[in-house]
Amino acid sequence: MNLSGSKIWSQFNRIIAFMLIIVAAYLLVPRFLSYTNIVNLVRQTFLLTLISYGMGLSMLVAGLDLSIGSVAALSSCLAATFIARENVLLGILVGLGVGGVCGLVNGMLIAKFKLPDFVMTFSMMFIARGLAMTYMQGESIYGYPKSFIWVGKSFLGPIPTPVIISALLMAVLYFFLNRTTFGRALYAVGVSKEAARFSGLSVSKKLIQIYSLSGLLAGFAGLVYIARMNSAEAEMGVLWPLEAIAVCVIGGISFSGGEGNLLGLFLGGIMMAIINNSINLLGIPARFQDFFVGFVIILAVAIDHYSKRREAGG
Amino acid sequence: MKRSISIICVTVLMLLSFSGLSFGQKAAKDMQVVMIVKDLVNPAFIEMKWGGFAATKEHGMQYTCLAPEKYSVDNQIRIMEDLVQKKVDAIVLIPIDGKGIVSGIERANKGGVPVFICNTRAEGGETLGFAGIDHRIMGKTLGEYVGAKLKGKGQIVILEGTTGASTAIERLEGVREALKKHPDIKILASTTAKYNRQLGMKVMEDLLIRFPKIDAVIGINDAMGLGAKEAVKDAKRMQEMFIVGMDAMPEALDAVRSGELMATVDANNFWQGFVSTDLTCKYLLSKQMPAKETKIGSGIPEVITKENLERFINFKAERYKKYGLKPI
Amino acid sequence: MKEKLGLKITGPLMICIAVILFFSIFAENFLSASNAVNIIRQACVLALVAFGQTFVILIQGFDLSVGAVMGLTSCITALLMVKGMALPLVAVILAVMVATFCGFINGFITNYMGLNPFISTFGMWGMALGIALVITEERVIFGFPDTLRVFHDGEFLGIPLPLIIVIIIWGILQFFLKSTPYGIATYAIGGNPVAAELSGIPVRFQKTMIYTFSGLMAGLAGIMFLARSNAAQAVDTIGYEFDSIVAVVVGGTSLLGGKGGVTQTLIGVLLIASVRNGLNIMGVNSYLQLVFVGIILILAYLAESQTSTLSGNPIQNLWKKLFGTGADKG
Repeated sequence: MNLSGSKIWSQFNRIIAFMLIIVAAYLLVPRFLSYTNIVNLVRQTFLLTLISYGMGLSMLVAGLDLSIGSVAALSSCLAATFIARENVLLGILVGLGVGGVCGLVNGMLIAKFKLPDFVMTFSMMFIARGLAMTYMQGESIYGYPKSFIWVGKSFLGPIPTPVIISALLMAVLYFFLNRTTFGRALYAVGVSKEAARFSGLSVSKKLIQIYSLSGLLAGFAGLVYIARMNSAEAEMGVLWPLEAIAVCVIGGISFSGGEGNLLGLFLGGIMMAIINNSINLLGIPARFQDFFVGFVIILAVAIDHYSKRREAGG
Repeated sequence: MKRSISIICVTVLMLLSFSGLSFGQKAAKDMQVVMIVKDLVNPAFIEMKWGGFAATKEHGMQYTCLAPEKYSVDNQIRIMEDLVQKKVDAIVLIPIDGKGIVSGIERANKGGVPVFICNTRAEGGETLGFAGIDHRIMGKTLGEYVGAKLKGKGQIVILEGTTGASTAIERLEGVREALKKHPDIKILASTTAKYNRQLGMKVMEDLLIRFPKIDAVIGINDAMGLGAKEAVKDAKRMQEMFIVGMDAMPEALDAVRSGELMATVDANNFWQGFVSTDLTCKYLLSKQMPAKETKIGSGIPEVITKENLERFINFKAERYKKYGLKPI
Repeated sequence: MKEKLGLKITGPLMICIAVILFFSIFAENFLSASNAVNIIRQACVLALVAFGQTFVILIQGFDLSVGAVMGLTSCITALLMVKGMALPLVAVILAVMVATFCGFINGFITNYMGLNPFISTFGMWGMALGIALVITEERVIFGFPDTLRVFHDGEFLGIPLPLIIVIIIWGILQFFLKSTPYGIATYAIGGNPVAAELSGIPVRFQKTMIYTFSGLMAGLAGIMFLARSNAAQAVDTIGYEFDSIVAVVVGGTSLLGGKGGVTQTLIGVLLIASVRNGLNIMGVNSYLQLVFVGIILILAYLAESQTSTLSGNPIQNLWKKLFGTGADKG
């Protein structure tokens, strides 16, 4: 049971780091704190968290969903076919449906056939990507009706709509994770599958639910993305699994399950957004970018790890 | 005695037919030409694929087009090796990298399969010839267009292609070469968006923050240009600058029509594929070696703007119709 | 004796045989001697990397850096040779030493600093790739002496050299894993790390050594890759990290650690290489090939887990799994 006070405390280090980074960035590039850039950062943060919710959930149960980007690609390419023909509602249903089905397949094979999450979602990644590419044959589907594009492009006041959508989703997930038995069961399964089983929880049912949800969330994120890009192509989302894992790990969600919360995920999203933003604002040349990102991620995780060890070791 | 002779005759005949000996030239319809492109996602290569299809159709030969699923020259080599096993009659190759592909060409040479190079030069091995439009010339043509459009003065940003990809490097060199002639044009930033649309949009968003005034955006391919366009549109700064891309993707052409993109560059991809395959087929039929290098059309890529857009589209449609294909 | 040689008829082996049969019917010249040699040459690079990955997976870890480390190795070798700074052999040794060192760093960060292998090896991936891009200035390195190509194209008594190299290394590793205390300790560490620690095995040290070994194999694979393509480019080998993990898993080594081995990996490598080769010959779109690889990965894993843990009719087991009552599932 997490009191909200202790949750903020558990993210204390991250909050400090986040503030330090902002100060450093401002000193290096004054434009960093300009109005447009802040809107930029907010948008990038919420887009990053949007693709990470599914990964975060699966990591909470000691699992991993590597298929999110490919499933998003497949579902949104299929959805786009309908949306571009003015069947927006049908398209949305297809997008969510395909995502959910892929997630369901993941969950069933992981829960019932005991396939390791890595293997199953990895295969699904190949399968979904291959199907998407074969279906699209190199073309892109573009030109959506205004009723759909507003999802990606409009603003509600000063805030971009995708941000609001992602934030709403985060709120809903927060509710489920912290105020329902579903959420508590999730953490229980993540901490120890055996213990959860002994206390009567149906572990396989939880797993199926989580992976289906992850697939659904991937489909959802895909729809938001194509609304923003105004175009759907088979190669989208290639980097999503990596970005999502980075966001979750920096945010303190552990691979071994049962540890971490949405606040951490959000902070992870902010930090990744800042890192990516700095790369471009500072004009870091391409050849150094991968190095830079890899290095920063290790640094972030190492710091977090050491501070935890210090807390525990006393 | 008679029985043994007939058995021997039948056996010999069977052996001969199994060994595939043919007395005389193989018929055209039994010849198989395979084109290997860099990927089947980029419309440029899909146009080359159809070019090859049209050419083999004219000669009545069998045709397949393959591409690696990973942008890696090693995978192309792998496909070539496998095709040599299959004993195809010829390969039309668009190498992902001209130097890395050499060992693949040598293996095809060893296996007796002739190779024709299209679009990206290969730096070794025995080949039938080369036909294509240089990526450097593409970059240079676009650079010259931008220079002229800016009347020699202005600030621009460049969105580069995948780090290390030879086409990205060559196109960029061409652009820079052309821009060097205009010392008053300042390149504010030249950074990679990995040929990716989403990344093009994200990078452009950040560049818009960094630079309060940009006069032009050069996307080394259309995908990045289109991604950048979305970012500029969202930031409501379309009036401030113009955006150009390369590849003449259908979506880019639409953007040129609507004015969102100022121009794109067409490399006559269909014709590149057609000419290369056509020369290869002719070689297979008549053993006539093609020229070492064959120009495609005028050899200069065409900058497509609103002015010549319709004419260009019609010309493409006519050509596709001629070979019985639906225009892309 | 049979166990020592790892001759069990496993699920993946059955799938491998089925696949070969399938392609021998539907793909022209698949079963010919020259195609067999072709497949072997294509698979040798993957085999070397996968051997290293096998060890890491056996101890419940994985190494995501191998693709980039391979690339770094080939780029360093190529650069040294092209600038005439070193004899090919010296260049190879230096480059492989760098690769081994990368593996050591992986092991150190993972085991002595306590970071998750996913993070540490991913970070190494970024760093190795970055360094390779910087030293090559993002260009392709070529035009160096042909000496190394013999490792890929050469033959000894009619047998392709890469096959000999792979078989020798396989033999050494198999013996090591099954018959030496260190090898058996590897299984112990992966199967039950706590018990291993308690029985006096220097777990952290051994794990670090295993990551170092993975770096070494990545280095060798990078050299073999260079021998194959005769040109070096930093980004060319990206992807091998996943391919190697797939090969290991398809072969039957468990991701949970403690089960599997290099023989299984060899089967996995053979399976994947055959599938890719067969599909290429059949002219199947490369993107569709991805779908098949994904499906085969699932099937191979299922086959392995079903044949090794369950008894009884496989069809019956399948039914029970899909529609079994909640009581015995949990």
